[in-house]
Amino acid sequence: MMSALFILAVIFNDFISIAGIRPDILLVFLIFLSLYEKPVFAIIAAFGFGFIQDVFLPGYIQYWGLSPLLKTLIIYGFLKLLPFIMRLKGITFLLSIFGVVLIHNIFYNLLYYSGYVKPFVAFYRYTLPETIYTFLILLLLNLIFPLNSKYR
Amino acid sequence: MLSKLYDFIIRKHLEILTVIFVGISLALLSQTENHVVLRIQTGWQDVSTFLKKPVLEKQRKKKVLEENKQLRMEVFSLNREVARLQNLDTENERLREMIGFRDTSRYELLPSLIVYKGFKNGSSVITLDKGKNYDVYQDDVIVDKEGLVGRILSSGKRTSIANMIIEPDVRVSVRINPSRVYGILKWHHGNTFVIEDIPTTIDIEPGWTVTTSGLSEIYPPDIPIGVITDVKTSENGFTHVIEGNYNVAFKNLREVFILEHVGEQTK
Repeated sequence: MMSALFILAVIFNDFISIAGIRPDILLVFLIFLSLYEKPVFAIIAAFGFGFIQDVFLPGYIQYWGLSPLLKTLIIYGFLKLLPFIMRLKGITFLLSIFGVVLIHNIFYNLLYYSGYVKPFVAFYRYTLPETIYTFLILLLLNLIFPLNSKYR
Repeated sequence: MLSKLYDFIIRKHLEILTVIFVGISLALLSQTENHVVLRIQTGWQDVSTFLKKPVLEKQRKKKVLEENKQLRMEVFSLNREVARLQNLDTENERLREMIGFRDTSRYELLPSLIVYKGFKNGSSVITLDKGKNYDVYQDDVIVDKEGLVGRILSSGKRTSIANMIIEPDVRVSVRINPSRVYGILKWHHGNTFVIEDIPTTIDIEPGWTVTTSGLSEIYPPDIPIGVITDVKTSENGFTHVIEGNYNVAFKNLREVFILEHVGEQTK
């Protein structure tokens, strides 16, 4: 089911955009993979998904390698912090996941729009809405595949 | 040594993988403009466009329909605006003509708006927006730039009721020009009048004009009334039956002038 959703997300990414804001579905999948699969698999997937993103969902400005770089780093950091994050419960746990998405989007948009849009503008115009949108999708999927069920 | 290296790789495999992937990513970043990459991206764009085509078509159709609906509404709104502006243009032209008439008239004219057209005691009356506050009194004469309209029947503080000369019971003392023959004019039908009892010994021609005679206690002299269209002989053979058209288009009247205290002057 996750694979089917993944393919749909890649193909119909443009149709789920709201006012030019697209959720980072691949990052959502990577977070789930980090929680459900082995760390090595998650790191490989992070690089792979990032690569796919740059090839198939390049956006308007094409940076070849930016997505695999940031996704690999963020998932590595997430895996390292996972034991600490998993000790959190309820809203704090969800906030920590939100933080992961936010940090990824801050760095991604900062580099992606560097030279085109001012950092502050990029933050409130793209980073914050994208983070909220991505997090909402993550929460929706959380209802079907609970994020911390494996560690309960 | 090798076993130590193997242990290190096993222990730090995640970090090693991360470093390798970061290295590859950085290498890729330096190849952003690579033509192979761009070709792959272009190829994918073609495939994804083909896959998205039905949905995009549907979206486009929906958008076109919405746009069409909005444009229809705008066209309707603009048509209404054009009609309003045309109406204003006509009104403006009419008012300009009236101003011109007032400036050239030898009488003191008070412009007034017809606020109501209706019936009172079986005869058609009009209500004007000027009353005693503008010194409008009974028997004041009403004219239009084309000619005589009627007289004030009664005046209130702010409005007045007047009747027009197109009434079966109304008679006006007139003079036919250029022969200067006097007669009594009465309404015939529609926008036509009739003048009877003019002897056939007097020559009358169609096209001659009819004005007020000045013999009346109400109407001052030389106010245009209409033009003669037909001259017949009555059944007795001694008098003319003169028919003509009023100058004023009574049906389209919107504004009129009240001649200030003409009755007093003529009296």
